Amino acid sequence: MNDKLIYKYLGYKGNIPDENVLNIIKLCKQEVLENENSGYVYKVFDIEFKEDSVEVLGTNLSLTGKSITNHLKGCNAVILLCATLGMQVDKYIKLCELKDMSKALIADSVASVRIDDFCDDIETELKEKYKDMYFTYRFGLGYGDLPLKLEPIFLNILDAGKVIGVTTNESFLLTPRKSVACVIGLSKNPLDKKSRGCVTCNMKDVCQYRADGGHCGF
Amino acid sequence: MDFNSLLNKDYVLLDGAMGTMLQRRGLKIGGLCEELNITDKELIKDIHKLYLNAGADIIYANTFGANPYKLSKSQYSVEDLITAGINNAKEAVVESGKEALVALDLGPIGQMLEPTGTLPFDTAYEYYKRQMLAGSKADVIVIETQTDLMEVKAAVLAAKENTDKPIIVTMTFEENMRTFTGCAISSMALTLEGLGVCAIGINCSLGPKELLPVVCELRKWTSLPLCLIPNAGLPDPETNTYNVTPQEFASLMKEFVKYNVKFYGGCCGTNEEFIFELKNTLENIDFTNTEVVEQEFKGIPAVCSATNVCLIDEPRVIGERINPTGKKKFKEALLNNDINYILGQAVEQINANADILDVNVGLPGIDEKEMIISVIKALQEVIDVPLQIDSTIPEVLEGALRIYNGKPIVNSVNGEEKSLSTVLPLVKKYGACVVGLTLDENGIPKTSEGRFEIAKKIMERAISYGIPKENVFIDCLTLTVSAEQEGAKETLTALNRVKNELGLKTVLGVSNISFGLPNRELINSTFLTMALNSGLDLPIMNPNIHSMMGAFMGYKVLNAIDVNSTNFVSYFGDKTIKTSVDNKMSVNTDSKGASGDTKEEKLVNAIETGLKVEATNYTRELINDGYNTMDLVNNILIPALDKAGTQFEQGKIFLPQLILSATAAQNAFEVIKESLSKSGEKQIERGKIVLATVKGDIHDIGKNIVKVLLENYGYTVIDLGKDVDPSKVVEAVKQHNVKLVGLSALMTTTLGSMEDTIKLIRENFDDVKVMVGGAVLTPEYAKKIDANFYAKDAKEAVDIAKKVFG
Repeated sequence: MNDKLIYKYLGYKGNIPDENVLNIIKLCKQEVLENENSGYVYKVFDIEFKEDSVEVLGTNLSLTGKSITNHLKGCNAVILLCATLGMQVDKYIKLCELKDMSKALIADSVASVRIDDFCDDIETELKEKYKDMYFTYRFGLGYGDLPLKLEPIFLNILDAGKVIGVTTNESFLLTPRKSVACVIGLSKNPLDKKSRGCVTCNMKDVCQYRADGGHCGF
Repeated sequence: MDFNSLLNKDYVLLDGAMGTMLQRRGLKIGGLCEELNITDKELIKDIHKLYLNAGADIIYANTFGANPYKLSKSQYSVEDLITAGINNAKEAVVESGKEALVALDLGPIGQMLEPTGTLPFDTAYEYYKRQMLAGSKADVIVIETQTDLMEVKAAVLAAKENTDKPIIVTMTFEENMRTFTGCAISSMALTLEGLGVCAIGINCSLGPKELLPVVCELRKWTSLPLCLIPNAGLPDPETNTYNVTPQEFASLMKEFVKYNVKFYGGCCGTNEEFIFELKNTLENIDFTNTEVVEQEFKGIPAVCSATNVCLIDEPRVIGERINPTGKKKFKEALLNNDINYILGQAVEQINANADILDVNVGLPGIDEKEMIISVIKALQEVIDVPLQIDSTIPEVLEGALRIYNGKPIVNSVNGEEKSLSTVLPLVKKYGACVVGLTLDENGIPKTSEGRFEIAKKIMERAISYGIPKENVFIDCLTLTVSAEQEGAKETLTALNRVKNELGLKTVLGVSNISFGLPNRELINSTFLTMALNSGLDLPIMNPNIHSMMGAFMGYKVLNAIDVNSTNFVSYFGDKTIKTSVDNKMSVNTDSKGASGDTKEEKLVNAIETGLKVEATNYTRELINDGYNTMDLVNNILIPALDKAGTQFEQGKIFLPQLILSATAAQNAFEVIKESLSKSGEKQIERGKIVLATVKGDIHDIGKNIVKVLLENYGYTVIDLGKDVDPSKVVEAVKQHNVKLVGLSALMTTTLGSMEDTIKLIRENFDDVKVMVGGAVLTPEYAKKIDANFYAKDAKEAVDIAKKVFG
């Protein structure tokens, strides 16, 4: 797991935690992994560009907004991906809260980093599978102006409730909490090197990391 | 043809997939396929006919997702699509010339129920009720592809309370034998058999091969007819095709006959060929000469949560600590809605090896029904052990039984006519176990004979209501031995007779025995051992008391119940290991402990470095040395906390350390509170604050951090939890006469609820201040939604509280 990112989420701003906190982090990493019942589901679709939207062919999902249109420029297909650490991790964090609030905070940050790592692993696997394709980075629902309200239909297409137990609610909050829903663009030709950055992030105006002159580690 | 005559057949054939068939006919993925019931009814009827011609005895109407949540954007109503769906299926049956029943098919709503999600149980119930009423023309109700036992319960109750149709429930299990929400196969079986459904089983997720061990497990726990509806193997994510052919499918399904499966069908990836092959295969089986596996745990009582079963085949401990009687702190927690305190009591008992927890929240001045519902919901979110619902008020019992996720024990019914006729019907309806107290209109009989007779009466009445005998547990009642010395023997004699002559399991609260005597623990553990030896199955006791647990575990060793003394050894061995792990987690691993010369300095250091145990110990020592408690707070604790806060602001220490300090300080405050309470002095009271994570949002860790810090500074926090309705906030402000409210939201999508909450506060009060916080908030936005303060972090929340309360 990316330790630096864990420190960052805990507010260490480039500093290294003391030994006590490092020990708790170590314990939480182990316990998050023990409680994890991770799963993922993805499907691949061809896409068609419209003005300010990208149609996912064979589904009735339309990825709307300038940022996703720009993100998928040059792509001919997308992978819709949903991944989760599972319900038990939520329960584990809640249990930590009852015993020790600082441990709960650390467990929460560790789990956030873990789900990101898990997505990296999935992506590596997918890159192996689609060797002759070029990948964009993972673009989450809610990034830029890609609306979060697409979540229900996105999950429906993947049958995520049935396959990995991920659902959403009226506020578009995913359950289990450590879950990710995102789009990866696929192209037969090399893509312009884009990197994740603050520009497309919907948190950019309120972000503490940015306020401190840094970033979340994307 | 009716459902009962179908049950007399060797096997009942269901249909195959609907979604798969529609997708193969060009339906876009992600659409509402139920709309086709109106827009393309012939297509739907044609699919039904394919299954009817293949031999299906029951076909599922195309109503799986026709619920109010999923249809919220549809131009059609639940009633439109379900009525049309049932009509299409009925017409298909008539037009095909076959004989078959039509099922109202109901999948999950698509949202998680609270407390894990935000959908209230009652809303889920109302959704299902609407579907049940809309599908009144169906012959059977099928509740399928479910992963949350709580949601299933809402659906089953909606079916039972609004129709009289037979109900089949199938849930979706993974290879780890659990659903995604963690529901165990055994829990599903116990709960649903209790609720009185006609058949249960498994559908979707895996192919027939992978489901064999799952069905084998299910058979152990129920005598109900089983239902099996696998996928056509496993799917390929790219092509969406499945890897098992109709012939393979049918031949694999043959294996399930020995588990006495009654209903056979196909889920994702199957079509009419699968059903046709299935029929061919099943037709050629000689069912009468097939040896079948019977229910393994027949007649052994068991209770469960959704995730964990407690089989009462040996003595089990019921933890008694969730009960306000004689506990000042517990009462305070109930009055202040401090659910986390109660959860803490639960966790402590589970760590001390309690098998079941008794839950009693009766207290004058609180709404017991509302309280028991919120406590049980909160417990269910974090703990796995089954619960015993403790109240004598039928309305309270029913409120709790409705939302209990599993099979609970009801504590209690007694021999009075009024109790028997109000409590037992609830026990039957919700499929619970029940504790029967051996007392009646005339009080507690003095003799064992009298108590035995009442036990017998309770058992007979329970059986007459259709409650299985094994679900009745009898409490022969412990009397105080210092008052009535002969009483103990009478209790044990009655217990022994109930156990041996009636064949019932027995319960006993043991601690009452020793009132008024010195060395109560000794009397209690001696009595416990005697009771166990007389046949006690379920002692209700405090598992945190070592000598009691020791007697209990020792009894199990000496009776050869604890084979190889494994549990005994791990219990007493584990104790030390547990303590050292706990220390590691919460206390500085630096074994030197708190530094400093004087006790005052050591306490300051303990707080600064987050040493919980030391903070407790030095505070206690200082108080014993005669240190004034208020001076301790004002001169040591608050300055130490302030220092940590300042260092946090300056970036010298970071959030985990700040919270570690706060937690250490909290421990010190606990000692002070205890001491003040003993000496009758006034408690530290700096002001009351209501905290809530707004409606729709379940990310509450930030709010909980704020709570810890505020409490440290002596503020009383009324914590309303997460996903809190604006009206609840207003209610709490009124009830507790609060001047400061803190609201948190993590999602941009829930900022709207924050604004609504503030609006409602403003409409109701002129002088209440609101502070807001959360990752997506800014000072500007806070102003825009009319908050008085924006708190960047927990430290700022404390500064704001200081400003407001002076």
